[in-house]
Amino acid sequence: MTDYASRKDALDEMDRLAAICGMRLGTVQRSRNGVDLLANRFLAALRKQRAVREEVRARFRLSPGTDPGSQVGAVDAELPGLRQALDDLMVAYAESLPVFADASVVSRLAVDMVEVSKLRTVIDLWVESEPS
Amino acid sequence: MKTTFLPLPQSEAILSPRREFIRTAAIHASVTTAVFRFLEGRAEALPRSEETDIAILNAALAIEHEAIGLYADALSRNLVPAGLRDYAIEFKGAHEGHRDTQVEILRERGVGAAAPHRADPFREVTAGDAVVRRLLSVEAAAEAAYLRLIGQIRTTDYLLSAGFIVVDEARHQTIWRRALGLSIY
Repeated sequence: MTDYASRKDALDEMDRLAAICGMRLGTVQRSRNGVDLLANRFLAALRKQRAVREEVRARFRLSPGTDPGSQVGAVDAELPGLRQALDDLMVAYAESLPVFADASVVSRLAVDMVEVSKLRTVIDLWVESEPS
Repeated sequence: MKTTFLPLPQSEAILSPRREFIRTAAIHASVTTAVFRFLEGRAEALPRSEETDIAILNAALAIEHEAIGLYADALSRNLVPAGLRDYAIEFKGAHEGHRDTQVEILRERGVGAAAPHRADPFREVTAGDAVVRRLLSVEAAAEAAYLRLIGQIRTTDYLLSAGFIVVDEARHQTIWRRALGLSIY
């Protein structure tokens, strides 16, 4: 038993959650000064991770994922919300690993999962450093 | 499993802290040469079998024992800078949780877990960056080892556990890097 019924379900959910992370990052970037460098690096990481998921889809002959730009919705610029979004994405990666049943895909997705964990920790440290 | 280690080439006689950590853990876990070479990135894959599963679990358990021992030594001798002590306590607790997970999975498979070994104590006698750098190297080594092992895991329960363990190691590593003023992203 895994947390996802199929590889497509897992990849769709990761795409959805990553798009939310991107929306939140964009909102944080627009609403705060001096965060362009960090936000741009994070957004680049999310784009790279999406490209990897697209490669995984192709490997298993799955249809391409939804364009993250097509996802609409309002998000706030609060760091805890961004932190939670990254946490949700990281958990989705972890819980999806068994459904792939392929050593090289698991290894590759695990690398991106670790990167999401690092992004989340950076936001943790940022939250801690802000006056409450 | 047979426990034999290939002699290291002369150029590798002096190990980086990361490799030293892996080597020490592997020796205490009595892992095979094949698993050791795989952990170090010197072999591409392991045969997929129950024997390999147990070897991976034992290697991961040894890594956790080694990390717990180092954190315990650093904490008991006040070697962690005061402002970072809470992190060290938290991370030691996380490694204890990881250890308990591996022990439980081994128990479910009817295999006894290896007893903890004594980690080599820190050479440092005062708190400072050198200690934090060693703790960082422990976390980096653990992350690298789990990323090597994770694709070889065959069972859902252990794969899920390993996923959540490796993201912990990544978090620990990021925090130590920040403490040392290194790039964190």
